[in-house]
Amino acid sequence: MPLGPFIREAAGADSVKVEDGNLLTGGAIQENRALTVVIRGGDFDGTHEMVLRAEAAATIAESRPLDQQFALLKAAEAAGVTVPKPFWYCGDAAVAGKTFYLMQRITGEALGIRVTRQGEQPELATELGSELARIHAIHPPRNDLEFLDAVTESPALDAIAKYRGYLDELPEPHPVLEWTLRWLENNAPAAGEIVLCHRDFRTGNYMVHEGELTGVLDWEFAGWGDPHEDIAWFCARCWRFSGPQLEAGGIAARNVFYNAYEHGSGRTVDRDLVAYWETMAHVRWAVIALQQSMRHRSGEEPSLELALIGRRLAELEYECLRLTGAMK
Amino acid sequence: MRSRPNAAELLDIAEQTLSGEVAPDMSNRQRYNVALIASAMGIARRELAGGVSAWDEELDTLRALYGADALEPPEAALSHLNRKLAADLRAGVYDAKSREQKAALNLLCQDVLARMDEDNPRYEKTAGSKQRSGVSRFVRRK
Repeated sequence: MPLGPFIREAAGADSVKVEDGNLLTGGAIQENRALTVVIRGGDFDGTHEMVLRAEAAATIAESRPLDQQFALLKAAEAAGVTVPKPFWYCGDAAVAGKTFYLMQRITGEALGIRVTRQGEQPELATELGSELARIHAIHPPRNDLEFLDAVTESPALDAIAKYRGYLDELPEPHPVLEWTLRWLENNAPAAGEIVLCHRDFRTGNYMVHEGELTGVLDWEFAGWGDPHEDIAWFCARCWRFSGPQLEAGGIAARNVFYNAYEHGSGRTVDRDLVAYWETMAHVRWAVIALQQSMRHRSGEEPSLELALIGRRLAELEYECLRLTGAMK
Repeated sequence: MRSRPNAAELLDIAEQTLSGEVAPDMSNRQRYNVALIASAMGIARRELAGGVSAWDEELDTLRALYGADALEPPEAALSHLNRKLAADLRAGVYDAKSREQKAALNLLCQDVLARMDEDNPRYEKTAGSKQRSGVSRFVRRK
């Protein structure tokens, strides 16, 4: 069954016309295609600008399958998070060559380097703090999200075990990351409140149009965890692009973001916990960067972009050594 | 003896030509690719200027920590000694303040700084937040 009939059935429409657009860039892991879909009849009558998101040739271990991403997007939409509206998931690879889901195509700029070039944007940071508070209002248990692993020991110790497992699959040893993970183990906080963490909530993964947030993207890493993990990921040095002095995502001072989050969530941001998770953030990005570069090195997906991600390692390790007090 | 210009010199001028003369006439997408190519050439040029390690004293430091096997070639020694160091760091061998910990941490720092000079020499090392580090108020486990 081709794409048109699939949408007609899913939308309960009389007729559907699909105009194929371009392959969209952005999203090193997934493949995104722009479509214009004209629907006649049914609840979705009208012209829709959509994105078809399909699984790329090779993925990394952390990345969730598309049906789970779709369920997360649905849950976020229901919680009032600004996301591209999810339409339908299709698990039948015969329809478009791969499994995929369709979502609304939102307008704006997502590229971190361009977003941070606009300088200080406190309103945007405030919006993002409120968005994160809405995401963190989602708590376990949830039937629609039953595929998410439960926290076993604590979010921190679970993460350490996972990243050590990933390091063990890599061909070379990584002493700096081992040092940092050991430090994180020795300093691990006890488990606190568990919420839905986006796990890639950062500049580069939200869309901005004329200074306003139009959507939080890339839900493929979400899972149960400590809310400070997301706050730290957003503020970590590695995600500030052109604005390293603006510690909240390269767009504002930390307090602007923290205040909006505290106001929206009713929680107090624990500065020490943010510092702890910021160290974890650099280990995590380092491990993911190594996995990304392996997609190239293994020959699975030859790509200069993926190859160069491997050479981001040193600066991430530098931050690890700085944050653990090893680099004076 | 090799002919001149040497590998580093050739990569240098090729990189300059690519960024300065080829890129300005290109579309955005191609300019992005050219930036990636120039970046890869720069890293390769800087790496070629060094020896087997980014930091010259890496192997000597590892041998001082773990003992030297004079017959083992440098590449093989670096690989197996780093594997040992990584495993020991994970196991907590370097947890306590000691001469060995100092030597190991100095190795990690020097190695990272040397690799940064190759991979991203323009990274602002002092920028970013001053965080509380080294000591944590969280209860130490065990």
